[in-house]
Formats: sequence, C-alpha cells, structure tokens
Amino acid sequence: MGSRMVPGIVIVLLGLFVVLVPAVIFPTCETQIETAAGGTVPMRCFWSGRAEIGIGALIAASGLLMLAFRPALVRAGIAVATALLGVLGILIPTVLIGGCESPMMDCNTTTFPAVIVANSLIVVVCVITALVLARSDRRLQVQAQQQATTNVTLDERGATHIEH
Amino acid sequence: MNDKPLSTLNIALLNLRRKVFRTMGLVLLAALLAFTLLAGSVLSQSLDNGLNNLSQRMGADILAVPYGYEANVQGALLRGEPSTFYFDELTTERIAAVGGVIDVSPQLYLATLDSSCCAYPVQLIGFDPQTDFAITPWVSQTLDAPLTAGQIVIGSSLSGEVGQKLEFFNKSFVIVARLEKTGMGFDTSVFMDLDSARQLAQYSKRAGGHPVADNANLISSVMVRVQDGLNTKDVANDILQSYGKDGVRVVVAEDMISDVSSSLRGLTGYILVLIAILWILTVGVLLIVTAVTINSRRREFSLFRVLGATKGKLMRLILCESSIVSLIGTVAGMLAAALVVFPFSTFISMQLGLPYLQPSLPVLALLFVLCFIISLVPACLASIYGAVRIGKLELSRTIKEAE
Amino acid sequence: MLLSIEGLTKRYQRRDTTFAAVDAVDASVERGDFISFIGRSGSGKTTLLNMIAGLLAPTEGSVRLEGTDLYALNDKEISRLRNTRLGYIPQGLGTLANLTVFDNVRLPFFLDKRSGDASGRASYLLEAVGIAHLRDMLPAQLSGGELRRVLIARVLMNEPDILIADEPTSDLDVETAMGIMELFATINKRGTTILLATHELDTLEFSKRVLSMAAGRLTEEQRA
Repeated sequence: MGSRMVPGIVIVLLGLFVVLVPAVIFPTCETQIETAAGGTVPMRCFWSGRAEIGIGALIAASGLLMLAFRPALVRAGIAVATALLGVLGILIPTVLIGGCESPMMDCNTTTFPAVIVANSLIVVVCVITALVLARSDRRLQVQAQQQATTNVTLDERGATHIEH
Repeated sequence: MNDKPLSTLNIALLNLRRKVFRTMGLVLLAALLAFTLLAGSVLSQSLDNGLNNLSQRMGADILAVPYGYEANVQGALLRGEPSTFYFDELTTERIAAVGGVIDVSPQLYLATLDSSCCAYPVQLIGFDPQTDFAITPWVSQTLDAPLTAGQIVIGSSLSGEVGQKLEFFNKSFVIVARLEKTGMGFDTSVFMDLDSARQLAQYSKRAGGHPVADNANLISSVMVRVQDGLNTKDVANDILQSYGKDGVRVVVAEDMISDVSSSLRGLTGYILVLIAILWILTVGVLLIVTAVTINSRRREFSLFRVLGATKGKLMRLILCESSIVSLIGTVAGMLAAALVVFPFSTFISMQLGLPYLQPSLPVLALLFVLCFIISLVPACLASIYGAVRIGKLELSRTIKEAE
Repeated sequence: MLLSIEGLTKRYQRRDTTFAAVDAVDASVERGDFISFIGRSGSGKTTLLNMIAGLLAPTEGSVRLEGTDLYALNDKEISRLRNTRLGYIPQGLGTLANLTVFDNVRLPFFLDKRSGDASGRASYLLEAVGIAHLRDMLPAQLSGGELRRVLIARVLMNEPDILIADEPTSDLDVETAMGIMELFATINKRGTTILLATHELDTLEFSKRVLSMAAGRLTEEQRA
C-alpha cells in the first residue's frame, strides 16, 4: 500500500516546485519594458513564469487526485493527462511564450532550466506510473478471466453431479 | 503468485527489498558520491577549458589602462562586466615608443543598457582594424572581410543572427559574424570598428551624455605586444615608469592568467578534497556495513551452505546485493548531477565569475564513463572484502552458536 | 549399504585438555532406515549429525555415502551432495526471513543447475506437509509447528536419499510433535532414509532403530 502513494506524492511535490520556482526560488527578470506611450509592461519571461505557476498548480492537483483514487486505470488516466501537462510546462518557456533573448538573463539562466527539469521529471514519472498501472490492471483482468473460466468448469461439474 | 526462478539476482533483490531503510541509505550514499564526482569533474573541466581558452585568446601581452581601472579591464575580459574608462588617444603612440614594444592597438569600450528585447548591459568594444592583433585573428575565423562602418561582430551569448540588424542608441548595425563560445567576457560583447564606436558615443550623448562625445580623442585601453624573448614584466615596468605619472597603468596578461589559474586551482582543490572525502567515506561505510551484515547474517549464510550453496554462490549473492545498490545510486546520482550542471551552466559560470567553457561531447562522455567506474569501485572493494569474510565463515561453528 | 561410518572421531581442544565430542563411532545405515539417536545434551549427537551431513570435518575416521568419502570432496562437490542427496534440518537454523514460505521451500532447487517444475513441486510439498495455505506468508508470521513443516518441505525439495534432522520436535507441544513425527514416518514409508537426534523418548516409537549416545560413544542399540 505504501508504494501506491509514492507517484502521487512525488507528482504533488514536483508540481509545487514548478509553482515555487517562478514565484519564489528563481523569479523571472524583474525589469519592465517601457512602451512608446510611456507606461511599463512586464517582459515575456514574466508571462511564462505566470503560466508555469498555473501549470504547476494543476500538476500538484493531479497528484492529489492520484492519491485520492484507487482504481488502477483511473490513476493511469490521470498520470497520462499529467504527463501532457508536463509537456505543456516544457513548451511554455521554449516555444509557446518564451522569455528574454539574451541567454544571460535570469529567466534563461535559472527560472526556465529549473521548470524544464522539473517538468521533464514529471513527464518521466507520469509515463512510468501510467505504464506500471496499465500493466497491473491488465494482469488483474487476466486473473479475473482465469478465475471466471475455472468457475465455469466447476459449475459444469456441479451440474453433472446433480444430474447423477 | 510469484513463480520467478530464485536466481542469485532475484534473491539479492528480495533481500534488499526487505531491508528498505538500509538499502535506501546505501543508495543515497552512492548517489551522493556519484553526484559529487560528476558535477565536480564537469565543473573543474569547464573551468580548465575556460582558462585554456583565455590564455589562447588573450592576444596581447600587456594591457595599458587608465589609473584605477586595472580591475575593471579584468572584469570586462573575464566576465563581460560593462566598463567605461578613458584616457587620451596619444597614449597609444607613447607606448609604441617604449623599448621592446612591437605592436600597439587602441580599444574603446562603451556600455549600453539599451538592447532590442531585454534590458541587459552589453559591452561594446571598438577596435582599430588597421593595427589590431588581439581580436581580429579569431574574429576572422567567422569573418571574410575586415569590419567596416555599420558592421558588428557579436559574442555567442547575444541574440541575433548574421545579417540581422541590431540597434544601439537608436543606430542600427548589421551583424556580420557571431563568435563561437569563449566562456569569457567576449561572449556578451559587441565588436565594431573604432570610428563607429566613437560615432555611437555621439549618439549616446542624447541618451545621457558621454565623455567620448565631448572628446573624440579618448580611448579605453591599449593592447601591447612585446618582442619575443623580452621579459614582458620588464617592458610593463618601463611603460609604468615612463607614463605612470600621466595616469597610465598596466595589466600583464600572464599575471592575469596566473591569477585566474590560481583561484581555479583553489576551487578544483576543494572539489577534489570533497570527492576524496566522500569516496573514502563510501568505502568505509560499505566495508562496515558489509562486515556487520555478514556478521548478523551468519545464520542465513550457514543455512544457504547447509542447503547446498557453494562458497562461490554466497560470494555472488553478496556481490549482487552491493552491485545493485551501487548501480542504482550511481545512476541516480549521475542523472541528478547532469540535471543540475548542464541546464544551469550559464548560472554556474556567472556565479563563479571565472572563464567557464563546457568540454566537448567526447570529453563529457569520457567523464561520464570515468565517474561511473570510480563510483562503482567502493562496491567492488566491499564485495571483495565480503567474499573473503564468507570464505572464512566456519559452518559448524555458526551451527553450534545457533543451538 | 547407503551410509557407512567408520571410526568417526571429533576432538576439540579446551585449554590444556583435548576432549572427544564424538569418539570412534562406527555405524552403518541401510536404504529405508529410520534411525533415532538418543542421548542427553552434550552426548555428541549434533556433532555426529553435522559430520554425517558433510558440514564438519572429522578429526579421524570417515563418512562414506555409497562408497564416496564425504571429506575427500572439494567445496563444489560436497555442496552438490548436500544439495541433492543429504537433506539436513539443523537445530536452530530455520528459515530465511526475507523469503516467503513458498520461496523458502523452492530455494534448494535453485542452488544448483537443474531444470524442472520447481513451483509445482514446492506447491505439492506444501500441500503434503499441510501448509499450502501459508505459501505467501513470511516466516515471521508462522507458529513453531508450521515452521517445522516449512523446514521439512524444504529439505524434501530435491528428493534427498537421506533426511537428517537434529531435534526436530524440540520446543513443540506433544500434539504438534506427534504430528511432525507422523510426517517423518510417512516420508520414511515412501523410501527416504531418516536419521534423527532426539531426547524425547515418546518420539521413538516411530523409528526402526534407536541408537543411544553417551560421552561421544554409541553405547547400545535397541530395535524398536
């Protein structure tokens, strides 16, 4: 029973880490860009960080759901969805939103590497969890089938016995 | 339920699984060792590489800079810290006249806080294509024709492709080449010819005023090459003697490199000591654990013997158990190290403030293999020790003790 | 003759004096025998059984299994003999705590290169000794009597010629002890030679021969 909890707990912790990186541990660049109108807007990396906070929260929530549900296939499904969330978490800073152009900026040196590593770990953990759970589910089904067939033969024997 | 054959491997796995905490502890220790080994060796190799690169790319034997800015020029070279310091252009000719000096070339440094996307300080270096010997030789690796007005060469860490335009102080320049990664300050520098740099200073006047804008005869430093066979330090001393009173100071490249290499040696020394301590600790802990294990498992091993296991079989069992633990720990530790050292390499190099250049892939692969082997040695030693202890195990005595 | 024991002696050095735990014992065992060695503790029964089981080299004399001198063999050969032909249940050395009951029983099969249905035989043996329902338990969860049955099932795994057991019924209540002895009798009826050491006289009725030991010597033989 103990080992059943491990993937869920790991995913919750990694999800929280993804939330904490842009928020606390390695914040994105703080400087704001001046617009032509004279106002200031945050840079792209800031929005990437925001998006990661949301994704991290969702991943942590998925981890909690995995702890809450018992059926193997349900947990495997959550794991697959969480793996996809992890892929999104990798795509946000690299493709979808991105960050500063200079590789020396805070977002490129700390924030993004941290969230990309964490999200990659999430993807790996989720894929392994899903595979293990799917396999154990199949084994259970095979066992159930075998039991069902033996039950049938016993029933037949029982029936012949009654006839005698 | 479980009909798997009870091979040595499977028995070892069962034994490890039933002793979760001991197994976890040993895995953690092995992981710590592997982590330190890989992270430490990649770190020190990168620093070593950076130093080699620095000494190859220095070009100049002596750098002449204004009084009080000796540290700044080092910061600019090593870390790309934007610096602005100036003295009169005439210094170039004066130094050229000093005995033993064969080449001189002026450079002009400008700092900018204004780059297209992200605010990031970039060092602009203006050099004289006519006299330069320090930058051109390795710029030319990526450049066919000499740099003309309006053209720039950018360091590897700056964004922008060749052919693209980049704006500084509202004046646009065409990128004609990118430098390969050097691990030094050049990675965040932009190179242009001296005249363009002076013009740019004029433009920057509007953005806040610049000393070069008021006096077009200013330069930041003079690169000096000394005749072969002469003592660089003596020549540097001569320059200082002659023009020190005019506010000229010198930085000897050799000294700078040896400064870097000594602080680097200090760092690699710490890393080595840490690795040595961890390695010895791992060997010690594994030996003690093996000794204690064999002592407390004498009954178990005797039983195996009674049931017909040979001494070799027991030795293989011990070997199997400690190999599994070390293997898992080593792989986990090396993976963790790779996930820290490579994604965060820029961060690490910025924190260290030393030239930092990651080794090439074949060298990295070699490092991985070496770290893997060295991490597994403690387990092998422990297994050999265990095998010797098992060889000495006297069956009848343990049976007697058990009575 | 399955087993012949000639002049078997084991001397130990105690400070200045030597004493013989087993002193010039001669005996012969036929296929199908069921022999009980009786005697007080310290009479040398365990030392004698250890030597017969190929675990303790004698000071003098020999143990021959169908003519083969056990102590002329190297580690590999004697290990194989222990694994295949000499089943020994020593006193105090019980089960392997990290393995389930089923795996404990299967283990001897895997200690030498052989092919066959280990799981099938282990299941059959667990059934035969009456503990099939305990197969996936760990030894720590079992009672004393159940543990003895695990040991017996395990020792039978490779169908040994001789089953040697040192005090197999010690620390058991009378009823459980009788159950174990009946099991031995059944095994013996199926053709396995059995050598037991015991000091509980009410177990003797199951034996075909009873040899008493005192001070390292075989003193008398009684036909049961």
